[in-house]
Order: sequence, then structure tokens, then C-alpha cells
Amino acid sequence: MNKTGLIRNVAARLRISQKDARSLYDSLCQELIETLSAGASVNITGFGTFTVKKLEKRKGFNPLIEKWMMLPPRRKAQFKPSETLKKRVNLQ
Amino acid sequence: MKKKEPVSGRIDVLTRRVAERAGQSEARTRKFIDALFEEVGEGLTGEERVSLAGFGIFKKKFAEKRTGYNPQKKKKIKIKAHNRVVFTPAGALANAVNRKYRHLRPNVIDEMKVMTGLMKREKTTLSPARKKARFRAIVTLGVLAFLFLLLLSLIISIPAIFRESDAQVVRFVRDLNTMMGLRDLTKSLSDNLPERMNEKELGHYIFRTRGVLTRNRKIIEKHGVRRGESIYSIAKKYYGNKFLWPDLYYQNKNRFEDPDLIHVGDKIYVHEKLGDPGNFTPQQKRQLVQAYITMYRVLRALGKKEIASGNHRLIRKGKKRLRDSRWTLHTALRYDHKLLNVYEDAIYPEDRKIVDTYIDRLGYGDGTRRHFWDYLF
Repeated sequence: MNKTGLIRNVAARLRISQKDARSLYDSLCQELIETLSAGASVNITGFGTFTVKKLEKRKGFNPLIEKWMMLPPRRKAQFKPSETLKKRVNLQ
Repeated sequence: MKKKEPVSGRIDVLTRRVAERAGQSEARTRKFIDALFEEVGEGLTGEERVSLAGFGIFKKKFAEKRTGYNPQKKKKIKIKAHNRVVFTPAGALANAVNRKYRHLRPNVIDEMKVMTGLMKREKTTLSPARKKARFRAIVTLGVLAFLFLLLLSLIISIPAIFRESDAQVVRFVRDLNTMMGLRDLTKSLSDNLPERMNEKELGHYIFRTRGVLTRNRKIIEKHGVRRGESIYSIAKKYYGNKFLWPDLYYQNKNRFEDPDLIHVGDKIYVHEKLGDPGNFTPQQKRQLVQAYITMYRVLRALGKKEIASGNHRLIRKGKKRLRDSRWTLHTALRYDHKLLNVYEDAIYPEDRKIVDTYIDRLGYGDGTRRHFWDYLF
């Protein structure tokens, strides 16, 4: 499933126009990105939590140039599914 | 649109902001959010993956059956085969989240450095609090080490301190007693025995004055000396222990001068026994030791006099007397190991050195020997 399919399903479920659904979806995405880039974690009940994790700098081997490299620190977004979601995925 | 609220992960704050941004009511946005993620979940259960452009990809992955381990209970666990949900951030989300470090790039590490330092742990920077704590710890350790060394040096130098001051302590106690007017049996004899008096004074003191020792002791027997007897044998006869002979001599010091020279028919007054040599009270021990020291002084004086006479026979006798004087000192050591220190003012240094060699050779006379720690305490 991709974005269009998702929006179509959600609009049908809620009985709203697809244009509204799309605008809502875009604004939601934007908000999520903003909160996560600020470092806050977002918890959606019944679905899971989105967190931000910090990675320290580390040595890594680049097999392409066959050299060791010092990878810089970075932050990445993580998702942890909730128990209900896990059950749903496994029951099926 | 103004967004004055701080960014928060709470769902109600999120819905409010989304509603503001999209221009919809809060209730609607809340419904929308719930429905959206419901649909994602539905999609996951049905298909393999849900990819949201600009956000990320939700995938369903299969995990095989495996045996896990519970370290708390130290048991193996069986984990069934199951599906798990995986999210990979992509596009705008990944870039935005890493905005802070976006400018940093990986660097190639020098080959040589890698070879030498690959296994080395990287330098960890310490926080100021940790640095302070570490500095304080080092300072405390340094101070403790210094104090310990100081203490050690003091302990080692104690014998040097006490060699001088033992005699001073005795003298001080003596002066105190005289000042306070305490005159009883416990008063030490060397109160009456001044330091290093010359032979003339010594002679007067020994042979003219009465002894303190005999004050509270009654006379048991007036023994007439028979042929072949000596002070040793008389002491052994009445006291059972010939090493109490200085005591016996002291009881009778008015009656004869030379302890080696007693004649048949002399009367020797034998007082009560000083005490059981095995368990002397400190006063008795002190009295006996001081009697021994008097004997040492007497013999020495007599020896010096004989040597000074010029008569070769007398000189030989004098030398023997001097030897005897030192050996009496050594015999006294069995009653007080620290004799040489305490009565330092009454013992001549050359004799002290010689008796030291006796101690090294033969120990203290009662079976014990001198060890290096005797110098300490």
C-alpha cells in the first residue's frame, strides 16, 4: 500500500473528501516530522511509539574503497510497535 | 497561522497543531489520525508493506522460531515463529531528524593509525563534575600517602626518642614523688642513688646509710656464716633462689663492704623474702633491679680502686671485679628487659655497651632473646 491507497481507504472510512484527507495527511506528516526533529517522541495508542535515537561516532569499514572510516554522530527516527499491533500482525 | 505551543509528543497537542495547520476541527483531526493508523495496521496485516512517501516504510518481517535465554532466571526460553513490524524512516523525516549533524561527513581513517589503534578504546571526555571529583580523589590519596609516610618515619624514630627520654621519665617521676612527699615502700631506690657519684660518695652512701628495702620486712633469722658459704648459697638456702642475693646483700650492707668477702662467724640478718621471683609486683621488681644496680656500682668501684692500686695481684682481682660487675647487670636483665634504658643515668656507657654485646650473644638470661622490634616499643 502506498500513500494514495491509504488516503482513499481513510476517506472512505471517515466519509470525507479525498482532498480533505490529503491535506490532513500532509499536515500530520509535517507535524510528526517537526516533533521528531525537535527530539520529542510521539505515542499513538494502539499503534506504537516514534522515538529519536542518538548514535555516537564510530569506526566503520567501507568495503567500496576498502578503507576504515570514522562515521560521524547522527540521530535517527525509530518506531516501536505496540502490543495490540503486534498481536494483530501475528494473529493473521 | 501562529503556532505558539511548544512542540510535544502528546497526542492532544499534536491533534491541535494538525487541526490548526490543516484548517479542520480538532475532533475531525483526531478521528482522522486514529483512522489513518488503523488503516496502516490493516494494510500491514494484509499486505507486506506500507510505504509513505516523505515519511517512511512500515514492513512486516518474519522471524523464525528460536531459543532465547532469560538471564535473570538463568533459563532458556522457546520463542515461537512470529511476524514483527519494522519501520524505516526515509526522505524528509530522516533528513529533518538528523538536521543537527547534517553537515558532518565520514572521514577516512589513516591506515597506520588504524593498525596501531584499532583495538584501543577511544578517549572519553570527562564532564567537569567528573574532572573535579577525580582531582579531589587524587589530592586525598596524595595527602593520605604523605601522612602514612610521616607516621612510618615517626614509628621508626621512636626508639631514638625513647632511648633518651626513658631516664628523663624516671627522673621526673622521682622528682614528683619527692615533691609530693610520698615516702613508702614503693619509692624507688634510685631516689637515694644520685647519678654517677664518685667512689667516695658511693662508699659513704652504700656503707653508712640504711636501706629502704628492709623497712617493712621483719628479720627471719640471724645467720652465722659457716665455712664454705657464700652470699649465693645463703640466698639459696633461705629464699630458694640464689639470684636474690643482691637483696640479701642490701639488707646487710652496713655490716660488710665487699660482697665477695664474708668471713666465718659473721652475722647476716635475713629478712622476709622480697617476693616470688616468678610473679613480682612492679614495686618488688623495681627494688630488686635497683639492688642489682647498686651491686654493679659497688663492684665497679671496688674494681677501679684495685686497678688503681698498682699491685699486680690486685690489678688482676680488679679486672675480675669489673667483669663481675657487668655480669651482675646482665643477670638483672631477666627481671627488666629495658633496664639499660630506664637506669641509663646510673650505668656507665662503656659497661652498657659491653652488656649490649652480652645480650646479643646470650639473650636476656631467662631464655628470651632480643629482636629488632624490641627497639621499637
